[in-house]
Amino acid sequence: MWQLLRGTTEIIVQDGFLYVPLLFDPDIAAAVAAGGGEGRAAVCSCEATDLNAGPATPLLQRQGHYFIQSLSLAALVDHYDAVFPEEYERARKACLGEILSRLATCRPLLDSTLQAILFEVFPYFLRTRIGKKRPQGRNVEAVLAALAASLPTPVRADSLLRALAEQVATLQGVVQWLAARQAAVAALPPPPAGGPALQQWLHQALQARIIARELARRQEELAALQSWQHLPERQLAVLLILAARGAAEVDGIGFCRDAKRSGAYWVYKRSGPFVLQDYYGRPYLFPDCRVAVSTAGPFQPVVLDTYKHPLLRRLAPRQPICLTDYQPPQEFSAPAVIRALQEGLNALYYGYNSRKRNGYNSLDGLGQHHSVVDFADWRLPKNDPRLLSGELEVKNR
Amino acid sequence: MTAIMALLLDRIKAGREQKPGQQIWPPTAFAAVAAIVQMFGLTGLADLESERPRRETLTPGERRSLFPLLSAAQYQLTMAILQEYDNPYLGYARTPGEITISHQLWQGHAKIDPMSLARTSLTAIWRQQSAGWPK
Repeated sequence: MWQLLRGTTEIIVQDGFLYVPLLFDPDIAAAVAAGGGEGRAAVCSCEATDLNAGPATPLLQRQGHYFIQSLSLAALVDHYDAVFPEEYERARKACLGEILSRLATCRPLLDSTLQAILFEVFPYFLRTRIGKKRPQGRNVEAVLAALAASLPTPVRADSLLRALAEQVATLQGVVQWLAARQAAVAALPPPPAGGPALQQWLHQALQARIIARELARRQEELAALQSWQHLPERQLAVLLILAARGAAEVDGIGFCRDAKRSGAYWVYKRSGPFVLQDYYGRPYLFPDCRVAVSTAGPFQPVVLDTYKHPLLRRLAPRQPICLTDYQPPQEFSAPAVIRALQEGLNALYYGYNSRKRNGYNSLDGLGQHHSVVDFADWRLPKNDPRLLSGELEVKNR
Repeated sequence: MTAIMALLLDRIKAGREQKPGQQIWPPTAFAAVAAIVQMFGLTGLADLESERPRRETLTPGERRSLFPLLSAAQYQLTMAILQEYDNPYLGYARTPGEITISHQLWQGHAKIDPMSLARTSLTAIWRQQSAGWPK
């Protein structure tokens, strides 16, 4: 782009658009001749329009030369980062050079994924409700109180709290610096008609755009950090510890970082021990396992632990659970995670039919398919006291 | 061989004969002249006859565009050349010299088939025709 502006090509600016010399072939020459006139000539039947500048004709005639309308200057500045990402990044570094080093330490306290897990998925499974109704929206304080109760006391996060305060102070300084720069570049003159001044004007417009965008972004980050600062100190400490650790578990629901995918988490729910019975009514004790779904997708529930089950293919970790009527959603959302976890748990509890012997393996080793795992080691006597007392429930009775 | 087999063979042969063979994309005179004007940097009609040293022909990497777009000055020169040297062989010219040769060739030999024109340069054809080689 800068080469075009720097080059010998004559460019005219009018009504906020760049006009470049018209190139000819016989059809274009005929069209120009048909629509030809003095001054501004409308050659094309379709008129280019600009919301800011109003309707503009696509062809100009200056001193016997024709110029065709090309880019809108406003659109060029607005979308410069998408069209010329490398040049934009260079301009951004040149413009924000003083504060980029300070911003390197500023990170959002919670990313959007972790926020959705903590304040939308967790409340669904945690018993944070008051009365019969499930609380609507984000129940931040109740979740943090439950998490604080689950963590060993006393919670010490002095260094994390100090780091947060420093981060807020840094962001405030950066926002002030950006606001001062924005005030300096806000009064941008109208674009020149062409020539070398156009390149300089475009550079200034790009700087103003970079500063405005950075200011909005940093103000948003500052507001988010300051909103967390209103929390009680103990809850804020819990939040900081969770953000630093990237893992937590309360009442069987938990999350942990996905080591293989950056920025992704495994959200899991523990099944607890349960009993399934085979065709002959013999009970089998299935130990506790973690049914999980990755926030990076696919939203197919898996069993994180090394586990065996009629609806799992073999004895291995991270096996997807066999589900028949479940269409996993394509994008991450809290409802998608909740539904995937519920579908997975329901399949483990109630998905195996001892008469049909469905799934990859059957408990009694018989059935249409050859079982690759054996469940004999998990078999319980029918008079097991835990069964008789009701401590263990037979799910597929 | 049965009569049916012979009939089938005849039909296959007849079908193959009716199928079009290799077809030549007819080059337009405007595209050919525009490519020469652009690549050789011609500025006027006099450049066609000038003796100044210049490149021999277009390199394979500089294949001419099917739908060239020219600046106003180049377009005017291209149209002037087309008007001055208008002939059916102009689309096969690859150098400024061949523009003049095409005119002379068409005046002397107006029935050269398009396949020969596409495969051989106009200069080579002109030399063959001048030497009195069989057409």
